[in-house]
Amino acid sequence: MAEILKLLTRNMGHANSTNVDAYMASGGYDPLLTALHKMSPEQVLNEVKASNLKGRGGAGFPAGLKWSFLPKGKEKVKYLVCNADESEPGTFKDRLLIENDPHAVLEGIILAGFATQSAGCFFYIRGEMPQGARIFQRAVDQAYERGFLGRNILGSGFDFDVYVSRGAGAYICGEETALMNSLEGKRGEPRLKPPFPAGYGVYGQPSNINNVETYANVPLIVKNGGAWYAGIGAPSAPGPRLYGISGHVKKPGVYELPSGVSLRELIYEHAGGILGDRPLKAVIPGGSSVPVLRADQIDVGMDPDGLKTVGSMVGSAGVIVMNDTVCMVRAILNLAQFYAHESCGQCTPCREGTVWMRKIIARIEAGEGRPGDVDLLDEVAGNIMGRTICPLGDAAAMPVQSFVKQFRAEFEAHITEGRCPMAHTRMTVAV
Amino acid sequence: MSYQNVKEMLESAEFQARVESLVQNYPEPRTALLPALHLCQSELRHVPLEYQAWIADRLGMSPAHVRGVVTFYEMYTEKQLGRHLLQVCKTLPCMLSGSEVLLDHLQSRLGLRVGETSRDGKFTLVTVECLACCDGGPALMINETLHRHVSPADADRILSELE
Repeated sequence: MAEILKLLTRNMGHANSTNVDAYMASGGYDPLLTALHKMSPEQVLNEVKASNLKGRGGAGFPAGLKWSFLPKGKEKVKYLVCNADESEPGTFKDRLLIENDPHAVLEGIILAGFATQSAGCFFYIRGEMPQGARIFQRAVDQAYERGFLGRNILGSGFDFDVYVSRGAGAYICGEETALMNSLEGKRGEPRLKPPFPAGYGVYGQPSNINNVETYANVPLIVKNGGAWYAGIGAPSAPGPRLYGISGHVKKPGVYELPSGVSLRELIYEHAGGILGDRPLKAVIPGGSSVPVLRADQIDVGMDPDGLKTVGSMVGSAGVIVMNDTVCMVRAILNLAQFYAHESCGQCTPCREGTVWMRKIIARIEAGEGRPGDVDLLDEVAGNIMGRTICPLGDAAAMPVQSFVKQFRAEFEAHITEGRCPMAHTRMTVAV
Repeated sequence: MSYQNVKEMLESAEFQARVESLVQNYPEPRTALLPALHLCQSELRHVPLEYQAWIADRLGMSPAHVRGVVTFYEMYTEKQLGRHLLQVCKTLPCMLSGSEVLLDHLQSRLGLRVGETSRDGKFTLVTVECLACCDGGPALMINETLHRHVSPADADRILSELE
């Protein structure tokens, strides 16, 4: 069994873990000092490239490569963005970092700013995390007081600012260009790409955006070296990873494990197995947008390659576990409602398609499904896929297609029996 | 709420100073729009049209643009909310953990349906999408405080402690 790591979670549980002094007492901001005084921006960038750090927000794009897309030098004002708009259902790891170790995230941001010679970073945190926003703002204030932010940081000649901004309740703002529009005081509607953020981002300036957990890895990489990092866990997407697990498990929570840990081990060892010792029925392995797995598909590594073998993705590494009491039509209805509610409405296939999917699933669940509805549902989902300017359309369609594919007989049974065979009652898990 | 109405709020030097500090906080003033809307929502429990016009003028935007923003985001409302905004997370992980039972209980206890405000203006009951608290379901956020693993009995206790 893989051992729980204490890298990203090294300061969790310590007294005053959000305070700058406590952070520094355990070696915090040493990597920043090293970078500013002993390394060039290119050297920091090269370590991150060598680490093969992949983005932790869901898409898994190589972080170092992304940084290198920004124009070099200081002729243009460049911005970083930290995406703290954590809203993918099943995902709750960034909250842990923000609320318990904000300086680790902040140090990673400043290091990324140095590596890319950016002017500042917007920390965009979802509106429903007011406490996290206060904690992070306090960390930023402390960093200014200690000279880790502002003009001429630690005498290095490097200037860098951080601005905290809150979202206001829109899942779509987790999409990078929607987030940038939101930062500009606009509706959170994604932009058509190209141009990509590296050329035209916040205020039209070259911008780089990464997830909270991605930035939190950077101090570890600068401290221990890219080669060290690349040796942890799955080689194609290495490093420690924060796996969130929720739903029908005995010990839901965030577990820091090497990337590529087995899904079975995560569920049955770390999370203590299925609630009530009931049979496992289904698992969504990487946040609500990724394809669902059946109980016989969990002997895979929790990394992109491992989950690809069963047709799914690691996404945000938020694992949602369902036991045999759950009606699969009811489960996907819940998610279909989510996406129909969160579609921004710009692209017709997504605006209309998400609502049609919700309606069709709702009538199937209510026992009013018509012959051919399952094919119709699959077709509507297929007509959204790849036809929208941002990934929300695909994110809404993929789970629907996968539920139909994996549990088709259950959908058909609803229609032929004219009712939900699970006789769905309110789920009353002991709390 | 420290201001009786939007007029009193907008005439207050203290409030104006708070808006100015938001405007100064960012590289460009337009980034202050969402924070300035949050400020109004938290003070008045809604964002009235008078305020939308005022902040539009301050930031050099059209009132129509500001209204487009207000109506896009879930956390801004044009209708005044109750003093305590009860937000029940209804997304899948919380549903698996019993959020439907919690919501049923709150509706019957308060005599409110989702989206309604009690006549005395004390409570507004809404459902929200995933609060990123999936290991703490069912999650109930009241104003800015997040409560984890809320059973109906917990909800009764929490509500009885609210003024």
